[in-house]
Amino acid sequence: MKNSLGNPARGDGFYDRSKEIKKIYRVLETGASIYLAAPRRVGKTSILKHLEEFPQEGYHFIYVITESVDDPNEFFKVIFEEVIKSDVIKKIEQLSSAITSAIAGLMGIVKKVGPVELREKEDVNYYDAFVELLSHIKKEHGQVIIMIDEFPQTIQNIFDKHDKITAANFILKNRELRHNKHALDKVSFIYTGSVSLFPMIQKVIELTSINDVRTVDVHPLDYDDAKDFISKLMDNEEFTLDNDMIDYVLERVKWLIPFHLQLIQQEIVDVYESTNNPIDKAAIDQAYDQIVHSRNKPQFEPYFSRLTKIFKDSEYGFVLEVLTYVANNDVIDNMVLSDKSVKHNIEDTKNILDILEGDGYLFKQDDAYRYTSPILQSWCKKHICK
Amino acid sequence: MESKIYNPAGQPKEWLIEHFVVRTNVFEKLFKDLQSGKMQYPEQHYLIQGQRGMGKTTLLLRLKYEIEKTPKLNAWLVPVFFNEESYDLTTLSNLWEKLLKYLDNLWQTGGEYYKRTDEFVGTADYEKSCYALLVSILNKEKKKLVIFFDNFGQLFLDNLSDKEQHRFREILMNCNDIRIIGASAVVLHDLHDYSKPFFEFFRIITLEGLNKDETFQLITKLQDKSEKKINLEKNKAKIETLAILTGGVIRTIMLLYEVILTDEDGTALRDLDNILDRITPLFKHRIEDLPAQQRKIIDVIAKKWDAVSTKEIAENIRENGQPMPTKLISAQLQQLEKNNVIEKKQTNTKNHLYQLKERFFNIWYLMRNGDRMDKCRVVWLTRFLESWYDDEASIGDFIKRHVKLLRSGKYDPLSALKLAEAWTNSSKIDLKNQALLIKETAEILNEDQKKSLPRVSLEKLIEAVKLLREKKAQEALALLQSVDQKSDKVNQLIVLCYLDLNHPQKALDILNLIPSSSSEIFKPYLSGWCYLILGSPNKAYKLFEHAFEKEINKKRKGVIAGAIGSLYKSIANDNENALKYYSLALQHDNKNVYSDIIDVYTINEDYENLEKYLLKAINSGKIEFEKDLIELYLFRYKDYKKAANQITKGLKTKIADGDFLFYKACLSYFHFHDNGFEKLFLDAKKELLQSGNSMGANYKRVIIILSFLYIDIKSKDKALKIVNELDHTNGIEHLLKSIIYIWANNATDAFKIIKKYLTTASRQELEFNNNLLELLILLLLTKKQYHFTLTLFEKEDLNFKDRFKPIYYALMHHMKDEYPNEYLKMGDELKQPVADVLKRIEEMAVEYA
Repeated sequence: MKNSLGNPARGDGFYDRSKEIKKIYRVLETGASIYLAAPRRVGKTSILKHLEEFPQEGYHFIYVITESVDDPNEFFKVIFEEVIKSDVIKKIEQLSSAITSAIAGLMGIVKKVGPVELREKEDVNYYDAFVELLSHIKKEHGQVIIMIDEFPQTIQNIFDKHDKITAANFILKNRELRHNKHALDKVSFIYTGSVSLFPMIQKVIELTSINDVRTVDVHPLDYDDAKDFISKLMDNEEFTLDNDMIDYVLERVKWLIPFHLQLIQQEIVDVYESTNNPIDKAAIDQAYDQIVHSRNKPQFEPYFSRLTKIFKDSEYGFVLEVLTYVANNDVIDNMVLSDKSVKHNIEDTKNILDILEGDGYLFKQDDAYRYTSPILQSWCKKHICK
Repeated sequence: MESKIYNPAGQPKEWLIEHFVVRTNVFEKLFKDLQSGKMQYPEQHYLIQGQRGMGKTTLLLRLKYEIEKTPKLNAWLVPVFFNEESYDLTTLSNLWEKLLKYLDNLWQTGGEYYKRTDEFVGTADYEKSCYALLVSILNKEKKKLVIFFDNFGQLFLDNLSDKEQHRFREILMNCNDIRIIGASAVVLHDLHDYSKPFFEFFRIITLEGLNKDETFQLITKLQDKSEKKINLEKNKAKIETLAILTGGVIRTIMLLYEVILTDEDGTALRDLDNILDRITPLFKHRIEDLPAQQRKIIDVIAKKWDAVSTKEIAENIRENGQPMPTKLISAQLQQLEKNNVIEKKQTNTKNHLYQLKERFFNIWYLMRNGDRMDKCRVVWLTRFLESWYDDEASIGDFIKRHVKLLRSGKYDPLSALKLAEAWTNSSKIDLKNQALLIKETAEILNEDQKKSLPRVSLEKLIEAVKLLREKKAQEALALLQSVDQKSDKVNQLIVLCYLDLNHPQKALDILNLIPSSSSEIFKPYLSGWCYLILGSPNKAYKLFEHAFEKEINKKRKGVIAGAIGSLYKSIANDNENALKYYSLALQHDNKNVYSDIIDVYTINEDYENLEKYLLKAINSGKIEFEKDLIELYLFRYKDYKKAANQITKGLKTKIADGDFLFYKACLSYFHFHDNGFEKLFLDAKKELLQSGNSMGANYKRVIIILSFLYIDIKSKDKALKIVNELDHTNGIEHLLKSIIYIWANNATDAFKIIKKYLTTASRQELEFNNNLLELLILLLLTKKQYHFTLTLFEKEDLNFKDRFKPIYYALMHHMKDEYPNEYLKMGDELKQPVADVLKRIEEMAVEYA
């Protein structure tokens, strides 16, 4: 298996996440839409890409990334275009001639559709166009799943470019779409993104606006899967890692998300290449230490920079101080949290800590918080604590 | 060769391949990845970072050439090289346009591909359409692109708008037709830059400066291809010294390699001169390329040599008689940092420091553009580096050696003068060494030369006053003594320094220099102080008498008498004279000394007099002293017999008096050491309840005492239970409750109580509860509630900073990262008390776990 560090894992690089995929299908069977929740870098996008490439029979997945979208109409336009361009429509076209003529009709609205020739008229309401497109999809065509990556970022973009009301209306418009009679039972959505959805929603509107969306959590790999994952990554290498060494790798990494396993595997290869010695515990320790080298900054910096999107001003100051404190001291208890909250003038620390826990930074044990990932802790200690 | 060194793209392909001798590992790794990546899915993108001259462009070209000559790759992979001159590549659509033109050119289409973009001009989706066109052409031709993009950060990434940045990430995540290997001289230091959404798709490869071994290796390999051979082993130390100066920049190393060839016997310094001459065209170009304002900034930074702050730069630049605004300087510094000309040194404040990144460039600048003193600093640097390489000596050792050389009489006076001048302006040398250097240098200078030696400025006098206020008497004294013209003010300060340092005779000598007319009360008072320390109380007595008699205001007389009494008490341990003056103070309405009198008798354990004074007070009609007397016997002197008598006396007249029942309970505990004390108090509590006194003070006091007892025996759960019965209406209750809450890690409720209490409590009440307050504050520190505690110290009306000074500095010890200067203000006399507090806090952490 190829180490696809930095990119969503595709093809040979994708590790079978059958538990998560089963969970997703179980929800989709009910016709509900999903929020795929997980800390960043746990493998959300890889799962979406895998669903798109290898769907179960009767399902059509369309992957849409709306990270750069900053306008509601543009959002629906992007979805509309991606759906029309997708293999799904091609497959459905083969089944039904009605849809071909329907699309032709819709093309009247937007003139031509195709990768290059695409044109637009002024003032096209793409929400309406999209709903009309959906109206031509029949239940027997199969269930269409539109997977929207970086949805929370889109909300943020709209909020930044327009205002809170526009962003709130956008969220409500998406709810309306999910409940539209042409979408019900035929079309579901999977929303995800590297920024947490719920705090983003809360910034603009009540959480009840998405209470029809079911949350599916993507968890780190369990121990056996992680072991298998490392073994598969090692398949392509000139040298091997024996069982004890793999155990030791997992013991060091502790938080077994594919990304961190890829990171350490990459560094183990690096250590091997520079020494040409068989990999022992000392070599694994060296590889572990190398992970937090500044060359991996692009991989780790977003863990901390994304916090600026979720928390503002004194809240951000508090969060950063808590994370740096835990990095240096391994643990933070209620009393130290109280001290930091006074320093930053924070009344409600619970909500903040819940987010940090939900997003995989910290976990609570015996009334105190620790880093979920020792790697993240080491990174913070070396690069964020100054 | 030099022209080739500066422009890798202008080198013939074969020459570049042949001379590619370092960075081979990274080349092989990247090429392996290019070879194995079939681009079925999006592949890894790379960003190669490093200073100018580190070999980035050469590496990109080497990779491009390797693809071109590898048939398995060139069949489907088209390498594109964008060099530093691609100034028009500032947007995503520019990139697609440029690639379309490139393909037009490569496949000689007659401009067909680019022409097709005419259709999209003016549409909102122009960029997307161009991208889609490019991808469709590549798919049709069954080709993929690898873009080698030199200066990728500055030319391209930095110019993308927010929306383009997100769009770029979408493309990187999903596009399998294009991969990018960029190089950037801009080192992106801070968090903000990496927050750009697309960065996580790049693997960063940093090209560091060559280390000593790699430098040696590079030169060895260059030797293989050269006709002139040098003795590498013999030149090893020299190569190392100069490798440090170049920062391992390949381009400069290749130049110095030639210099070593032509100058085998010169010292490092002479080599340096040679290279500086040779390298002038490159560095001159570097300076001339900069805009005028940046050149001015570079001039200041280069001449300062050590890292400087924005403020310092601002102080040194004037434009039309006005200082350059710091905001403008900051903006230019950012630019210079991005361009890798300067380097930001992080400090723990917002004010970062800046220095020229390539030290060799800085040396060149000083040699070429500096005045006499700047050149001197470079000599120092080289010597420092040489000595560092010899034995890793510190600056202190350097000074020692230098002083030894000066004393040997062999040192050139003018060089010594230059060094002394340079050191005087250096922040890295302490005052003591600075004074030593000036003194020793002066010894070898003639009178004319001595005039050029730096003088201690008036600013230093102001600094001395500040130091004295901060109780840094030794440092203050050193500065004051170096002032040439000593005014009365200076002398007075010197006296205070000597008194602080316990040198009374020296203080007296200085006092004698002050004319009597100068300050009549001040002089006899201070002189008396000196004589007291010197053990001449008679002389002191006369002088104090003089000071006391000169004052005519009755109240002030009382104050002076009190102060003199305290000097006798604390300095001379002369309680007899202390009491005399306290008594004088009492006669002059200074009631504050009453507690001092009790203190004296307390320290002396003179129960008789203490009792006498209390009884005197009681007899004078102040019956509240009756209970004080019992409490004195009971709690302070533990004279249980007298306490018992007093309590019995009280109970005889007031059988149901809760106070006496309470005292009786206390007596049972303190006097009889009954193990069942807890039960006794609980019984007392019950009695008080039955007598219907549950809302009265006595009931509360039982609970309070029980709370104290539970704190004493560290029974947290019982303490928490009993204290919850308090409705915290008075000070002790507030404090006990907050202490126990903090102990139980309930900071939120404790803070509420403390805040409420401190806004309502009177000064007297706070005085009364001093010990509890102290315990509370210590416990707050034990439980690491530093910021909340600080808010207490910051309330000026509470005056906690004075009252709990050692605790305050213990707090500052814990917060010295946030308030580094505050901790430094601590006087020497506080060191031990603060250490004691810190020790106590450690103990309490165990006791109050």
